Amino acid sequence: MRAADELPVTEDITRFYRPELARVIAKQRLSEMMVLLRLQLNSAETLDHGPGQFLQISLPGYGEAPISFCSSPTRTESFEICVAAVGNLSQAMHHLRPGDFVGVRGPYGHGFPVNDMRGRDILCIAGGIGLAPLRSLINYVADRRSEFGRMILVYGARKPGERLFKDDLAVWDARDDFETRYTVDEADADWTGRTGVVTIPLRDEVEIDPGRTTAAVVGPPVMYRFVAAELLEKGMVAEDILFSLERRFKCGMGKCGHCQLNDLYVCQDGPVFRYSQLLGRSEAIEVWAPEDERK
Amino acid sequence: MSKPLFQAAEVLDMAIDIERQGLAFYTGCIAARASEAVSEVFEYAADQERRHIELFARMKQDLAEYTVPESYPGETLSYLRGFTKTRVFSTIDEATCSAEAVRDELEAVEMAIELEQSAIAFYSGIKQIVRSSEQDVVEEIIAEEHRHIRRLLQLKDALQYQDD
Repeated sequence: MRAADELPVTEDITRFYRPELARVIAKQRLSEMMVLLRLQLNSAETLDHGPGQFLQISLPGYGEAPISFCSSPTRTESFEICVAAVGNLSQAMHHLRPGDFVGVRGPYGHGFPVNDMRGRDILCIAGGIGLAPLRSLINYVADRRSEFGRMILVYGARKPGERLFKDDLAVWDARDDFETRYTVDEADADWTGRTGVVTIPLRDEVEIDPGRTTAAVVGPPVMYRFVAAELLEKGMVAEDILFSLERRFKCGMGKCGHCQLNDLYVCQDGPVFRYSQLLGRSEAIEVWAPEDERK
Repeated sequence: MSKPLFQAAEVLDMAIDIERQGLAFYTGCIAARASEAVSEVFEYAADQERRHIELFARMKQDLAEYTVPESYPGETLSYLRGFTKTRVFSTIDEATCSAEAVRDELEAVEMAIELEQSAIAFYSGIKQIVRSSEQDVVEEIIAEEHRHIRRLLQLKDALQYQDD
């Protein structure tokens, strides 16, 4: 028998499963359903994530769930996540207070290919809570502004009260080097801005140079096909349209199969995909009918 | 509570509506004593709209099982309404009234061109939600709408030439 020190060195795979402690350092309510949590690793290290990646958050007694980063990796002192109160874990996270601890592991997944996006015009299109993961990219571009061309943001929420990151929206709107178009699906008595789904200002008010534009799109499943049609109409090619598909995340490691799209795992191969990657995959209901026989 | 679902067949109802509005406009213009040249093109276009109604109705039968999850009820319809915002008419009655109200044949032809262009925009969108086998049919309809536009543009040129 070989001595232990003669055995081949193997990767410590437990690190993939072992959460690190992170402390809540700030909490902000963004809407009735959403809170923003600012977190810091107890070890004071950084997670070194990329825009569009996600992490696993856990609370003892409640479980674990994948949640996208909504802060830019350029802001290294802490990281932020946006939590929708939709289940036991997320509702418990709404009750967290500064000083409380959560478990985190990650980052996971393939985010936005920022190296390929450098030098190009960036068109971000967000629907509803899709603004949360896109905020990471938008602030990344804001912090490295000279490395990118035009920055255009089209954001639509269902109602004015459901708009996220109102402070950020105001900051981006005020910047000379950002072009913003905000809309709501259903206006209320106080709303004076645009009304209608996000594809309306995208179609009517946004002019792009399709050859030098990369579009980053995050929103509800029904939004993607309509956004894709508008972008193709503007002359873009499927290769330059990036969709983040965050639905059905569970384990984050390609083990549980919850997020499988034909031969792809959204949690591992994505969540960010080029539209061209999704076109032949019948289970990508965001872009094709599920009974589509095309393979 | 179950998640709201959009029945994709609804989009084909909207396509059928667009065709019916076109049909009402063309037949209305013919009834308003259009010239022979205009009547000929409008009758051809009206026949094609009838055929498109049948094609979309057939497609709708096959789509019955297809649903899309929504984040709130009516979300997909909001996007579809956004897609068809540029539609020339919103109801069949409006199409009929517009046919009766046009000042001259040139205006009727220009309105018909707009009608066909907005139909093409809409059908380009619905191509995204039908099965690949049905996309060829939608493509064929779009190609026919393009042919309508070409004939209408020729007619418009002839009418303008007449006026000059």
